[in-house]
Amino acid sequence: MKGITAIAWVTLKAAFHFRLFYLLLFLLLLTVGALPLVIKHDGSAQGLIQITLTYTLGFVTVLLGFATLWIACGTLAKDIEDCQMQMIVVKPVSRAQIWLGKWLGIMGLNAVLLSLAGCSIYGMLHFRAKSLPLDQQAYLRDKVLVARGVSKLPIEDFQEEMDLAIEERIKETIRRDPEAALRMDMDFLRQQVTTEVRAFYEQVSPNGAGKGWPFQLTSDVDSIRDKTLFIRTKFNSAQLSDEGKVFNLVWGIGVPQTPEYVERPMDLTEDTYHEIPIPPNSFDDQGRLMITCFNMSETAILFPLDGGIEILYPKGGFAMNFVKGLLMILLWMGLFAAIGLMTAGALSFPVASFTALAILFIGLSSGVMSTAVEDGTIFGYNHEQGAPKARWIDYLVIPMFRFFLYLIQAVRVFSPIDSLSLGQEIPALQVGQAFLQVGVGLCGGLALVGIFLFQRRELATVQVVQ
Amino acid sequence: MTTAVSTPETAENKQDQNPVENIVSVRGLTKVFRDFWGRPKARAVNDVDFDVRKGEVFGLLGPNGSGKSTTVKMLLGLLYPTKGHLEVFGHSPRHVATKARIGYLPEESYLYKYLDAAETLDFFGSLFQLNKKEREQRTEQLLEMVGLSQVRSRVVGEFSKGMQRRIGLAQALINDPDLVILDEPTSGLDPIGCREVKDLILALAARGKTVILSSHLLADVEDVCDRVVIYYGGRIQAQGTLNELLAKPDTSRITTPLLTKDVMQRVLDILRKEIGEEKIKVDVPTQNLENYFLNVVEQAREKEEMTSGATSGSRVAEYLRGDADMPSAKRQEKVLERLTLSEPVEIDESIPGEEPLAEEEKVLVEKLEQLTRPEPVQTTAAEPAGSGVQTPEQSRGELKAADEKLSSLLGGSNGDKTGNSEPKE
Ligand SMILES: Nc1ncnc2c1ncn2[C@@H]1O[C@H](COP(=O)(O)OP(=O)(O)OP(=O)(O)O)[C@@H](O)[C@H]1O
Ligand SMILES: [Mg+2]
Repeated sequence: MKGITAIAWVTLKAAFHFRLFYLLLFLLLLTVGALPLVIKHDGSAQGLIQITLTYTLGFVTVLLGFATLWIACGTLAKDIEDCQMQMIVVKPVSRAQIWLGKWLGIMGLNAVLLSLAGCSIYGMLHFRAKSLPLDQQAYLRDKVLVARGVSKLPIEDFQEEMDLAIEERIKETIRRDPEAALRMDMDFLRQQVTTEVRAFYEQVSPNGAGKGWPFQLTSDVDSIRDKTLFIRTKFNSAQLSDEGKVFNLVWGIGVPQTPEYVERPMDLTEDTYHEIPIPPNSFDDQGRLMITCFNMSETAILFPLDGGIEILYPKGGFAMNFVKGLLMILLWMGLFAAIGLMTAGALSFPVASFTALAILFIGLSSGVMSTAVEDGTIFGYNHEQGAPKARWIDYLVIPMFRFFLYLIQAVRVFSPIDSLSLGQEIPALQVGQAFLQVGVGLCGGLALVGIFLFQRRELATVQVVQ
Repeated sequence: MTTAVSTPETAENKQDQNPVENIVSVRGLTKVFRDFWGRPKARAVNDVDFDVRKGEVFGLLGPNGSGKSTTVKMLLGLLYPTKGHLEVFGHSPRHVATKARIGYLPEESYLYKYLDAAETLDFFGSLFQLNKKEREQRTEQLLEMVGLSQVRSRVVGEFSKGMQRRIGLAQALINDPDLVILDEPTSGLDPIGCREVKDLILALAARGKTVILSSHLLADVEDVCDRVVIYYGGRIQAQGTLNELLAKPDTSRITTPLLTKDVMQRVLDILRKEIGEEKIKVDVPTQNLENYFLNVVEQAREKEEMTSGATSGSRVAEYLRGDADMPSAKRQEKVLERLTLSEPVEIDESIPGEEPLAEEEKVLVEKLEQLTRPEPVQTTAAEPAGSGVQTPEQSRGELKAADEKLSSLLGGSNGDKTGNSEPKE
């Protein structure tokens, strides 16, 4: 353990010596201070948040992420190339300890930088909020600078339903035309049925039809008594051509035909997040709340199952939430550090940093991969000619893509910056989950690969004459 | 003990008769450096066997690029052998815990330039899991020992080469190792430093520590080593104790203080009567190992052993030679002769059938002779060496002289080692 901390300390010390720390700190503070000055917000609370929190924190993350990747590559690759590593491995420290020491050193640097940047963002946010009009300040106080719990609809399991529907469909085809049943494309059928079943759950029909959702809010009902809750919703038109169209919807809050029931008509744009205030104490003693939506327009609308409609309720303070968010960003940094160290343990500095960047870009271009995985080929799916013949390369690449996507998904599900910008609480559970998935799972996996590669590396093949 | 050159077999036989704990054992060790595509680039070490026993000072000798450092790096797990077996303290060189017992000084001092002297030692101390108090104590003592207490809070990046070497040496000893591996420990050190290193090695040996020393400074090796191997082209050409290697069974040697011309004449007269003029050789016995070494390398070269390292530059580049009066090989031979046999030579002695030496060359030879002569030296080591042909012997001579001078200055406290012509033991 002493060995690990000594190596971490030397790594950290190098960052100070090479002025890297000061440079990064300067850039980070510049981002926090100058970005809101360069990009003027529209005077609304939302605009302020977008720039001072969303953009700034995003930018800080990107900056720190690249720096981490680069430092991680540098600290290990340079030590190997300049032979200092030879002096270390002949001491009783294993390569795993050296690797972890380096990682810890980088994380120490990140922790310091991130907390300094975090403090300045936090200060900036509160400072600039004072210049907003009073109503906007109230908005900020109620909707953003809080940690609001999110109550989601229970995720329904359609599997059974779908299997039934598919069976039904096959039976029907056999009844009509047994010949055709043999020629049926099962993948296509499954896709079709999925779409139909989903639509059934997501859709609200036009011309005054309604749909109700029973929400179960927090079990701690007293904590939300007398507080304003919000419906957060985002819906899409069933017709693709309706992009950006405004719909007239009537929201029913509470159980219909009871005295507490209220209706709120509003004109809302599709494909945008809206927050609709709920009068205090609309829920019952068990914390249940009924929400109904009537579609008064001529087109059907769809509320996506994940995030189409949620209830937000006040849960905690912003500061704690902010810290949780920063912790999750630190986890990402740990991932970047692991990627950098992994490549640097095996490759020379230029090649290692290039490889690490490539890995990062693969991570960012997951869209391409997920399309390929959906289509089952990397050569593109031709909708007129149906499924293409799978080429051998698909057999190789698609499972790889699937695996990558799985890994990327493990990271992507966590979006602390979004949560913070929306004033949503980051549940402790989620932080824990992120810690397990990203910190332990992914970083651990990368560390194992990295240590293995580093272990195999002969360290004295480079001759340096000082 | 009459064997002059011991093969691995004889070494093992000896070991059987007299079992001692082997700290390092090397069997059939081979290292081939390969390029990116796996094609062999250099065979740096080729089927090497040797053992290092507990408590001995073991020397790895060999010309540049003969595979000394490569061997050492394999002992430390910095390079992985292509073939062969290797044990240090009965474990593989990659066994982490064993490393707590080893101290290593690499051929270059690879230190973190941004740490100061004390921090450097503290850092390496932490890698050995030493606690804070112990680290502080040892750091203090080691800095004192290598003479860097004054500059303890200067970063090592600002240190001169020799100062960096000294820090390197200090860090190799911070764990009080049982096995110390020093790769050219005296390179870059001033004469005092060289001297101190040698004393240190002897002190370690006296405490029962094992030392492996790689060097091509033969004087250093001769002063401290019990046993040596001589490498050429990655192979061991000779190995054994210095006694074994240097004794000539069919010759006798009488060592006396330097004789006056008169006494020498009388002794020679007696000897001439008994065994005849041509078999008598008078020399000042300081460079035995050197002769021996040159011999071994020469023989190996004659057998045309492959070396992936430096072959000794036997010819001075043409454009540097200047006048071509004398066949160059001949001329160099002559210079070398004067340097290696420090038999008092008359400067104006001319070799039959050859032109006298060029003027600068004469000066050079004179100067070097002065340096190698075992009389109290007049010149100081700091005096710049003469221009012209630069030979290893030249610097060695200077060093030797300086060492001697130092030993007299230091009141002969260590005088029994340096300048001592007797083979050790
Ligand atoms: N990393 C490497 N890649 C390729 N060849 C190497 C490498 N390291 C050493 N060699 C070669 O191996 C041979 C032995 O080198 P080594 O460093 O062991 O010599 P040495 O005996 O220590 O020489 P010196 O006295 O100059 O230090 C040389 O031919 C050298 O070129
Ligand atoms: Mg060497």
